[in-house]
Amino acid sequence: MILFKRHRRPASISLNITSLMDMFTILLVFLLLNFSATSFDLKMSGRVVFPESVSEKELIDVVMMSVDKYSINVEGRFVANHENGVIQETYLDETGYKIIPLYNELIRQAQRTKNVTVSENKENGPTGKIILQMDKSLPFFLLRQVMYTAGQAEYNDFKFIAVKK
Amino acid sequence: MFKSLFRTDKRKVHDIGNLNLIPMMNMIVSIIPLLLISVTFIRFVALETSLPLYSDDVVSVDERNKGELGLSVAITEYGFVINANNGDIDKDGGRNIIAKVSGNYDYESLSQRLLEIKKEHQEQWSVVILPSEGTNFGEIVSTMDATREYKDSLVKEVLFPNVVIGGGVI
Repeated sequence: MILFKRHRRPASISLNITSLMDMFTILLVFLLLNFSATSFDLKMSGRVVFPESVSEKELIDVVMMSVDKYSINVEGRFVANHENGVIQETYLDETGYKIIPLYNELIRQAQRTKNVTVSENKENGPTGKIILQMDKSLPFFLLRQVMYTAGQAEYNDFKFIAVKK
Repeated sequence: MFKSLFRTDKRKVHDIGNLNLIPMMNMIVSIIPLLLISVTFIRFVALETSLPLYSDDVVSVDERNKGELGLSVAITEYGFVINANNGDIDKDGGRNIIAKVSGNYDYESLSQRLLEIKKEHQEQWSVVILPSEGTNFGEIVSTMDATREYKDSLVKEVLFPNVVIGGGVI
């Protein structure tokens, strides 16, 4: 008889969830601190080691150029390759600064997004903006070639991407 | 008499029981996945710079540069060299050359020296950075940081936020 006897369940069980609430509150505050309201679509090649910076400026959505350890890309499209920062001479014009495939691609981008990326520069008329993500180990002579080419295509304002220190 | 005044009447303390935290738990449990999805652990920032302005009209360039200090920071393989085209900042001599410390660029000293120059020329906002051929991109970005603002544990001063990257040391 006693085998089939069932204990009556208590009407309600009270769990002590205070410690769980503590944990959740701390987690919530931590996540809120790291919350970023601005979303930004960064097309990364995965082969760029970003430099660090203490800058506070947010990124804006304009033409994206990426210079990684092996190649130059504009908006995710391959443009030219390089070896330790040295570009093949066939890609360059007679001055040695202008990268012809990059110039052609930037002109194409400028025509496509003409009305979006042009900002008013009072002294020099309208100029294009460009975001440059570049590997931190690449030399200045490559940066100079890239900036010169962008300048030729009327992209004069640069934003370098860095990781917040 | 006293006993009755200070005696706490235990019968009057009601047991409030457990708070019903379930609605709050529901809310937190739904907020946390939302925040976890949108949380960013690596924050990307932008450093603004522009190409140097050029003009074919020499006279207009001279007029435009009137009152400008023409400050420049050259990054050489031995360290930084600070120079000013139109101003005398080299009164003491030698202080505008900041040598490398144990093979690394001394960004703090550069920032400190620029702070001294800034105190003498409050109305100046521009600086030209002149990297050498082999300077890598990370060093250029760190130099831009050092010229843009001075920062230590106590003070934070804006130095020269308009950074232009020049053609380089020849």
